[in-house]
Amino acid sequence: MLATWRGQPRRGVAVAYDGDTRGVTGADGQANLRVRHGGLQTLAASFDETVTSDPQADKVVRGTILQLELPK
Amino acid sequence: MKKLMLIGLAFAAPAVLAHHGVAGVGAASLEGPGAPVESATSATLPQGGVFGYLKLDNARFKTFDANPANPESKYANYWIAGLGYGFKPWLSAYVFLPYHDKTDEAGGFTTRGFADVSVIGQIGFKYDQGLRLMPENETADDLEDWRFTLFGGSSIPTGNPNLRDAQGNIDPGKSTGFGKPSFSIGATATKVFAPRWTLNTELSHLRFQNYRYADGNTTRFGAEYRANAALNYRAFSDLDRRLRIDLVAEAQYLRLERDQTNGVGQRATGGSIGYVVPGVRVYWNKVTAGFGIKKAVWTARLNEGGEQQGAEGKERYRLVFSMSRLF
Repeated sequence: MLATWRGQPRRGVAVAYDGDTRGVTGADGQANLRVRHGGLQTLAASFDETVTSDPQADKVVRGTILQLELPK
Repeated sequence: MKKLMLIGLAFAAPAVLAHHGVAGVGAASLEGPGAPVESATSATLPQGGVFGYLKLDNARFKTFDANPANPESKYANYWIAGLGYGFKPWLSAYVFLPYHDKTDEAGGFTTRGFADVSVIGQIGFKYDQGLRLMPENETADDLEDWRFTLFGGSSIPTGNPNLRDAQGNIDPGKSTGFGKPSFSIGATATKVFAPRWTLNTELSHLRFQNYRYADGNTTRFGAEYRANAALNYRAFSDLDRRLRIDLVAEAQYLRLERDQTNGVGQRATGGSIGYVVPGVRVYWNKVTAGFGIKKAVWTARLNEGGEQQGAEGKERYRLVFSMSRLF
């Protein structure tokens, strides 16, 4: 999996497979995930950033989910 | 003659690597490969990571002569303190300071003191579509790949090889130093082969040099060859509490060559031994501790085994405890 943010690879993005966090991306934005079954795959990635400009929030969480289907 | 070498990174180990199972720590290790109690593992330290290690190997020896005029070896405590540093994700270095307490029955020759310091370097590899050096960043899935290490090192003769008993005699096997550096090399391979199961294997070799003692005699301790295999079963893990408990079963083969005194192979030294080490390893946050009971189960190939009181293979049992922390 390659995680990018604003067009650049991003380090430290948590990645999950079927809802199970498997690690974080390296400096190249990449993290290896193992496909463990056929059928519907759910891959997720997220990171958070500290917010200083909004008194209503102390951080913002950015996340994305990719679903794809493989032959069973 | 009785001696104990550091080898066996477990860290695990690694043992030479002080048998220091370098236990993995952190969230990834909660799902990654398990570390044996005593054998070396295929875990390297993270770049910039500092590793602290403490091990106690308590050996209780069988005794065969009830005559108090013939005191025998009673027990030995081999303490090892170690520090490690990860220079690269694939390159770690360790220094170990042993403290030996070799206690005889009353009237015997009991010795205690700091033994020879050891330094060991370790290179880590993995197999992921080809052999490559251990990368900086890995996911829990990466940790399921085959992992390997090569390690090697040397001792520095900081201990005292010339301890004398009440009669002024030197027993090299009771001294706390070997007089000259000894050299070790080894390799490990580790694989998570099922969600809760890890296989860990180790091959290692240790060689001593001939040393002339203060009484004019020379001794070269017999070389050591080790082949170890361990199965880890992750019995319990709680990611929220960062706690993991593994059950461990190790099988160890040790072949010792005869010691040489003044160039002559010594009777009642050397041979082959098979040990089993059932144990448990606990991981909590960045701390891991292992405990096992080491028992010789095959001693048929000991040279003149009936005369090797106090030597490897003649233990009632050994209690092995190690603790390490990654800073």
